[in-house]
Amino acid sequence: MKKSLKLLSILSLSLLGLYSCKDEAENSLNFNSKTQNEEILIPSTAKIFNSSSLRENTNQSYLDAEEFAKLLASSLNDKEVRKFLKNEANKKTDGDFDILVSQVLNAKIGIQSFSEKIKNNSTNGLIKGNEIFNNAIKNPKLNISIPILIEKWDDTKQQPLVAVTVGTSEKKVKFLKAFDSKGKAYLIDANIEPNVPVIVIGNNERMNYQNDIKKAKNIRTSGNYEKVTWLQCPNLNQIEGWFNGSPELRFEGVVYNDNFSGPVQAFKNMEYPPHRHNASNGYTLASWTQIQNLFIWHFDNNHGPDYYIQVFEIDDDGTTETLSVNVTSGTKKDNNTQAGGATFGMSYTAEDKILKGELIHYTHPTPSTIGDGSIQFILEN
Amino acid sequence: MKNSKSFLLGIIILVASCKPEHIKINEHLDGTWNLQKLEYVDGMEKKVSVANSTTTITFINTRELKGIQKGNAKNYDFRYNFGYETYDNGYADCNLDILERNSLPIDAIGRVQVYWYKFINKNTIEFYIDKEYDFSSKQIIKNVKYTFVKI
Repeated sequence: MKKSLKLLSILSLSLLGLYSCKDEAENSLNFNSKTQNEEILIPSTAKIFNSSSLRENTNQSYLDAEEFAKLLASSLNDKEVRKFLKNEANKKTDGDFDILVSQVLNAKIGIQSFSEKIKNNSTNGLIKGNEIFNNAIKNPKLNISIPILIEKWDDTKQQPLVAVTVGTSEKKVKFLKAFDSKGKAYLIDANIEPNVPVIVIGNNERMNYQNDIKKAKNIRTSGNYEKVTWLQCPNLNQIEGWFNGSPELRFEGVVYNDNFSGPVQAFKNMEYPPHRHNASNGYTLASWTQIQNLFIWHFDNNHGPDYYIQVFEIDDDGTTETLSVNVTSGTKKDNNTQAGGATFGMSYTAEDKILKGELIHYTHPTPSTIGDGSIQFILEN
Repeated sequence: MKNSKSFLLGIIILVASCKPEHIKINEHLDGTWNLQKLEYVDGMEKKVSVANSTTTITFINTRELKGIQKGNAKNYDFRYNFGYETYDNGYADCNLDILERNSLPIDAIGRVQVYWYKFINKNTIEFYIDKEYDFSSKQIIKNVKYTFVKI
């Protein structure tokens, strides 16, 4: 009898042990889930959400953000959305990998706007998607960020989880609720940095700071520095082969100058991206942001109302060529301006690549992204 | 042993010679240069030459690429950015941003933002621009050439 009891105890303990192991395995997911040739990135610090394991946050702004997170997560089945999110976050418009939702509502993803694209992805239909989206964007600080490991995210096939931090206290929070594209909920450890990228829905921490800057900024006549703060060469191989390393970029400007009664070379500034991957992924031009100024005339009465900015990739080889560009002749003061009335020849060599060029009027929005498939940069004043 | 030393030396020379052009230029510019000669054609189409000027420009090769021009007992801060692409005329171009350009004495550089430049030799640099506007005389001066010598 004693022997049978002993055997039963061992058996029970083993079963209990096995059960615990099973429970542990189910709750701790240190692997990435594959779905339709795409990979859902699940941090090793995540576990399946169990409603009993977390006291639900009933704050309305949190609930709105949570619904938005689910909606965005379901949109991650769409490669174009993933690409858009990665590109936008990489612009680091506030210095961090943030996307202020209110600023991208009308941004195009293919033929649809960002808001249309996300609303349409609601599993409960467009009307519900519309409701969720509109409730969420009542929060002017609503922000999408990819705070870590964005450079490791292969957006062509990987779907990160979308976590929510709106309404949570950074000091107190232990777990973040997150969703995958199938609607499955997880809890991610808030204290240990995940080993894979995670998209986070939160409040933009830098928005107030940005507002302060915007107050100081004005149109280009205000005397602020005109500068390029960020750039990206999305198809770097087309403008600089990998064997040539980082590209060498030159920003040139032409403006009408009343003293000379004609257009003049306004600036020629070289920029050398630190590494090739900086150029292809996009980077903030730290030195220029702080100290470089493309021009110093600030559209005073001696200059025309616009200037032409042109970018070249430099190869320093071949004969000298000329690229003709036009700016408005005349100045703001004389009311006798003629759009495109002044032509100027910019020098370059035959092996240089002529990249994006654009006419910038003094009322041109700032900051603004200028570019094409070869180069994109943020110009601000 | 001798062979490995030569190999090591070769590697060091190779690495040293691999510096990008713009870094080499900035290193070479670093220091103070005196305006040895200024030549231009004034508004009356008269050739003017100014020699033995006391104007100096100092390039400070830090990450910020800033400098100071001293002329007419006054200091003028500037930022600079030199390209290295050489055109058929033998010049490359550079950007000199001097905020107080309207008050510059005639024997000072920086009335326009972009100049052509070339090193005549290791210690002599020439800047050229087809025209400048001299705010003091309110006239356009043409074919302006500055020759600076490293001190």
